[in-house]
Amino acid sequence: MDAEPSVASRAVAVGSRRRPERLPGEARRIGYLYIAPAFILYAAFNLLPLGQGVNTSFYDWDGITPGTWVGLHNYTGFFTDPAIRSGYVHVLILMVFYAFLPIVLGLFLAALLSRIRIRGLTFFRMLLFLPLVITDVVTAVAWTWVYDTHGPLNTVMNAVGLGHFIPSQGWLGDFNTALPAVGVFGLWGSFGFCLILFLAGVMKIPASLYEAARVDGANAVREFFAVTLPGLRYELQVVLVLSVIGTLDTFDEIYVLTYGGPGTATTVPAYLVWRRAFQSGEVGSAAALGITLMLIIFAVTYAINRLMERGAEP
Amino acid sequence: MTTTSRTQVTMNYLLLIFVSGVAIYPLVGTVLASLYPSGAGNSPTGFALPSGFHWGNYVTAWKVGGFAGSFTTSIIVAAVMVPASVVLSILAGYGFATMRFRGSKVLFYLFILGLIIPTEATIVPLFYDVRAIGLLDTTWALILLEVSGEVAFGIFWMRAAFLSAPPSLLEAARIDGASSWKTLWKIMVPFARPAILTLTVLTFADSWNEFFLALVFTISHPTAPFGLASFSGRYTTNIALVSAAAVIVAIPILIVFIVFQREFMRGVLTGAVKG
Amino acid sequence: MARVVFESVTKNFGDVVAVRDLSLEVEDGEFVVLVGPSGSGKTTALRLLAGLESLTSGEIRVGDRVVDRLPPRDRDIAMVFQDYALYPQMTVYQNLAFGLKMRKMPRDEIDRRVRRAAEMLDIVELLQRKPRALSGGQRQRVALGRALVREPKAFLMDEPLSNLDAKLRVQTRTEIKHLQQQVGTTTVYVTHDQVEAMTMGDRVAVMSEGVLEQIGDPRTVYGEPANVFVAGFIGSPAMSFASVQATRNGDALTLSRGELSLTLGAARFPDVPPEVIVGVRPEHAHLWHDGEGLLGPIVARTEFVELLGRETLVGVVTAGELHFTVLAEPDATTKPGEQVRFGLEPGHLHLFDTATERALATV
Repeated sequence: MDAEPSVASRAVAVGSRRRPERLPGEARRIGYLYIAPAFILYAAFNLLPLGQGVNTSFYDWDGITPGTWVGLHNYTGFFTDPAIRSGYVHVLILMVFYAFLPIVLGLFLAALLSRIRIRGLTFFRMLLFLPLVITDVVTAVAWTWVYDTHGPLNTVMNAVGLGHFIPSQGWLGDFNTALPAVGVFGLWGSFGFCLILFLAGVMKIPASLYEAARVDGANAVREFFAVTLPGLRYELQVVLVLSVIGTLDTFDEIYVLTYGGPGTATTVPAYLVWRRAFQSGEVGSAAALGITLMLIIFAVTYAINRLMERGAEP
Repeated sequence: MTTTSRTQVTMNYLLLIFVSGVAIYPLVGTVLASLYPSGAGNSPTGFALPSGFHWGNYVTAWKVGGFAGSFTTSIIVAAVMVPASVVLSILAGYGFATMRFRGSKVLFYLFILGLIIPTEATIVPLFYDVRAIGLLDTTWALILLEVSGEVAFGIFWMRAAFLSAPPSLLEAARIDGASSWKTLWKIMVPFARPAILTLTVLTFADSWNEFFLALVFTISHPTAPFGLASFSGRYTTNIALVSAAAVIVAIPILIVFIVFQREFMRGVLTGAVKG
Repeated sequence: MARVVFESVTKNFGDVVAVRDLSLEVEDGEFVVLVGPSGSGKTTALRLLAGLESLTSGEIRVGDRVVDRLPPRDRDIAMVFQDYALYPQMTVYQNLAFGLKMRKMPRDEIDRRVRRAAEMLDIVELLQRKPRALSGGQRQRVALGRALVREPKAFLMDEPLSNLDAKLRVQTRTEIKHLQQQVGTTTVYVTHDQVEAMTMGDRVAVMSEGVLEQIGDPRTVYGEPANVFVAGFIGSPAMSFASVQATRNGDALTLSRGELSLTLGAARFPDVPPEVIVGVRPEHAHLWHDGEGLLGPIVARTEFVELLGRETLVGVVTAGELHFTVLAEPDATTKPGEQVRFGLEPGHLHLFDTATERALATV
């Protein structure tokens, strides 16, 4: 650290308006040193591959022989390739189970439960959290048992006389039921998280708001829409973003439960990426798929945030 | 809270119990299933106890599924990845929180980007890159990739934690003559201990649960989840055996969760600020 | 020599000028208080001295060494923060020792200094405790101790008393002053509380909007305020001000507004402009009693009455909407709305220029 006599310290720090101000004696570059290790790793294994992925997506490549340039052809697959289209359709359907239903149910239950003081909340939280915390592969395996021919679901259905609805190839093997079956798995997984988050949010809403509403003559339903829902706006935003992105990203359970089958009934974009990159040698297409997925996630996140923030102005 | 009737309260508790029950039913059921006699066609119905508790399934699953190996791999990966990721996040989070340097905003946003870049977007080029540097099918690949994937969140988290320190604390340290390094390790890290613990726990969970990366990069010495997936694929009809394997894989994370559940809650509830 | 000198120091934050051309010299061992309302620049000036902000222009010297490019650690200063800034995970001992450890002082020297400071501050039994186990007053002493052990050229204190309750504040005020006299270290103390400034400072520096309005010993700043701001800021209850016309008639000076008319005679007056601001402290305004040599009587209506026990404050307003605060006897019986008469002590009317607000004369 220098200590120059500062007759010249009439330093009206030239350009200090542009640079962030430096404190006396502070080493200028040190911030970079602290960032560097993380950034180097991140740039090498996240940013660089991103760029490479974009590059790869412009080629038709099987991963072994040299690829051929096809420009944006792989991207048009979004519109023309039935596998990709159905992949996104599946994800949209899954969103009902992974996002929409858990949120609605979570909101409803949180509103109901908020009226009482819950003892042992920590314990319940722990139980509700388990589906989220335990490895996806493990929970998926658990559900293969649930859907098993002699598993609990079928046992119950047989018991209540609905046995004839059970598909002959099993829930995960039937073309019509496979996707909803995965969906129910997702619902089960997300629901606990939604409930916990909404419960926590509801408890932060000041009781005085509810009292004011009650004095104004609101019944329970009106209370919900006038006080509870707005009060949970932030949590809603978070859950929406997380669950929607989570759905777009779904891979683990597809691999374990159905391998994308039967046929392509449960193929989702993430699974398609893997399959095309590592099984069917359509590497360029896989890269494009990945990039597209990312762009969609960006767009959705942005849209949700904008929507929710705009709703903040009454 | 207004006075609610006893019935209402009871109904609510019943509802809560029901919902919690649904949450854990598949898991409990799996444990139960694992105790059934091994073999195809011996599927537990979920409503009856097995004739006897076949603990032997666990031994078989462990041996046949090669879990000794996959557990070791998972543990090694976590043991290296978690400290590395946390330390890197601490360093960078500290830099962002306390230092002023050109482009710090841009760099930070670059990291935030990493929170929404899905693995699928980079998996393809990563595969070829990793192969090019000769690390394909090694645990190192997995470690490096997991760390680089985790730092985005870690930096976000630690920066927030350090920002919550009163500025006067840092100023007092400056006046006391502490270098930035000493200030970090002797003052800021002790201050942020709860946040660091939460980050460590969450990072461990992410590492243990990681499947997609393991699938692509460590085929010959798989991690525990990958091992389970293969095992389950090979013995699909032997529910009892597969369930035993699933329970085995679930135990470490379950223990961590029970011991550190407060940190988990804190992490997931507040960390969900990333949206 | 541990003088502290600010020389034409200016600090801008973007477009905002926080400190404007501040020049100030604190003598070795002197206790100078920077006082002013929030936004006056007093805290910024302190932080510039500490090295927590960088100068826009000017020079700061500590003990004849120019410090503006030096980091805080090299300036040989110690600071007491408003929120104490104690390291939460360390014991009191470690808190005190930290700065010394960073300077690689030998362990026994550290121990000696820590124990001595702990004794001076009466916190020896607290040495092994952590900050969260201490009361506010105790934490404040530890903060003081941290500065003490460093034996620096200057102490910098940033409103160290504002987080204490009123009673503790008065007690600690005296203790800090005593401590400083004992140790003899040059001290620059920042506060917004003018009572603290007046009771603790060897000299008081009044600041407003980045400008040093006046610096002087308490008596001077109180009795001879340099401008309207200082006059109104120092002293509680505050001085009353009125805009009046000043006319000369030979030897006499008449101040008037509406029916208010005060004539002061038989004294030497400087030339004053026709419009002036006159300021009077409440203790120099009394309810009218004949024969006391007061200027007046001035007819007014009581606006408010505040019983302070030892005295009574009466706020009055004349027909011409001029407001005055009058210090009356504790048994004064006037009530709001009543008509009263009051008078002003000659020799204690401060005249200020209407445009520049600077002091002109005291008549």
